[in-house]
Amino acid sequence: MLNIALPKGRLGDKVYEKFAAAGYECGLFHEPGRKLVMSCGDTGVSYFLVKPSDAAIYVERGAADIGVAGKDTLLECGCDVYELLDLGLGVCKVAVAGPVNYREDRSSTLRVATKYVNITKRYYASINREIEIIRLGGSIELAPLLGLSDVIVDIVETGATLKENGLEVFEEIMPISARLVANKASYKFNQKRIDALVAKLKGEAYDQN
Amino acid sequence: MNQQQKKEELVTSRLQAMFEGRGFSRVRVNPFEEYRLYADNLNFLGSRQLITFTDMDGRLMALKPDVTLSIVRNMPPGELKRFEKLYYIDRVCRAADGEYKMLRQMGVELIGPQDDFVNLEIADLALSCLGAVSDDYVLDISHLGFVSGLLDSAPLNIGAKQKLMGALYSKSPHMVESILDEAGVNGDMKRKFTVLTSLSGPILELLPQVKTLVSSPDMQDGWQELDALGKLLAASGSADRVNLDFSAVNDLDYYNGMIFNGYVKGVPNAVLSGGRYDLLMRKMGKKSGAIGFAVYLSELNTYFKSGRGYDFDILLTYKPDCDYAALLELAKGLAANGQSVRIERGGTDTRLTCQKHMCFGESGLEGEGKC
Repeated sequence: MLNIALPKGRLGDKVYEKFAAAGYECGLFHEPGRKLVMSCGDTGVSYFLVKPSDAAIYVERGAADIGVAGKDTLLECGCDVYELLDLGLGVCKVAVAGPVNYREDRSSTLRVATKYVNITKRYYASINREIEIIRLGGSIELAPLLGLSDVIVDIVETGATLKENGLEVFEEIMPISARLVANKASYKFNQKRIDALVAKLKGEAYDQN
Repeated sequence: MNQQQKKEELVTSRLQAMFEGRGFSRVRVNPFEEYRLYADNLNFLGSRQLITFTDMDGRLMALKPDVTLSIVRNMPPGELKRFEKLYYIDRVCRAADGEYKMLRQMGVELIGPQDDFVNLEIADLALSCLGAVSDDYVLDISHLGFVSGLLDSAPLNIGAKQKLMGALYSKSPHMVESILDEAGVNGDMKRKFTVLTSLSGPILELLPQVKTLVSSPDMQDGWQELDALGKLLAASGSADRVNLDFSAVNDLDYYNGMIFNGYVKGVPNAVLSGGRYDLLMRKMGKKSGAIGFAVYLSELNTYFKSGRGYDFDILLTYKPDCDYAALLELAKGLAANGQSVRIERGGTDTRLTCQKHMCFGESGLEGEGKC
């Protein structure tokens, strides 16, 4: 049985549909009041739904053999997992954004509000810019509007939320999408099953032998 | 073996007997070294976080984060005429999960003349170590000479090479494609990198496929070394536990030949890793070659819980008016038969679990039953 950690919410539903289409359907998934762990013996997989930012941790620690996590959370947690496939779902980008008409003062420390502390640190270190990080858990867009920060680093999908709040993207740091990740040790002991799943998700034929 | 021994202790004693049996001598190194030893080799350590302090004579010292550097430092600079075969059981201080931890390790270092037999001996020893931990294990082997040969044969800058090593480490063909697209590398070279990233499987099955990737003398040398090892492992009957997997990577400034990671079922991380580090030897002014590995003992206690389900075999409770000397004699007799015995005062809430409960009073053993 392969244990699969899926992110809760809209992305998790999309990911599940992709798995189901590849032959890993689980009738329990759409049942009202579904359980936390859904085992489907006939397809040899067991799904469980976790907070999106936790999926990679479940996999890294071996509680799940494989899972689906956003590239943003993988970079943020630095989890030591195999990243086997870009699922092409949840496509967005991590970007620097700020108020329209904002003019950066390069002579002073830049105040950056974000929940992506590590990505932000790495990005600004790469361009040698001194920053002060303000770690927030949500509603990041509020920070520059209330003068808490100069700019924000956050994920941007369509940019509509930014626009509604009078913000715009200044710099795209990296593209983001959902990735299929595997625990390194689990991969060693379930390689054929995991490789078969990857091939099916890619729409390729897989020879189990 | 006493059932009470924790997995770490059990494995330690097994491995120690194995290393001694193979003619390795135990080496002990200081718990701290001068900071500059580590500062000069931070990439070898894989971490910049060390606990430092000033010694009585003003020297900046650091708690040892690694044993190999200390061993190498103490090697003579010239070419060794015979093997130096050493093993250690030690604690290293490392930053992990946002805090410093003292981690127990055992390891071997084989320094001196290097040939295919040395590779076989170390690989076989690594396999034996994994076998001492679990019945279900696998050893992943890669070859950094082969990997760096492929990297050097592509027109890539240092940044792109580092990113490719990261993609190889993460087994991510999509990352490889994106990096090579950005660098303008296409065609056969791109195919080779993509194949190398996804390759994983029994060494004897994959060697022919790996040969088709060879495109430089360094890669040819690396392939020949892997091929020789595969044949020798097959001849010694242990090839079926060995996989070729190039996601086992390490710093190219220190490691150069065969490198490997060992996994056992039930532990989510590698429990053993090592490889050839001739380049570290050169960097530290030593002419001999070297290869070795470490077994991460601390991992074992975390993931191998005692399956016993109780604290002691026997809980022996006594009443205040009993013959204490006879009580002690009884407990010693039970322990001599290999049972774990916990003596407690009767009537106290011990919250201990046991298989059998014995009650000792004025007239001696007054009753026994299940806990």
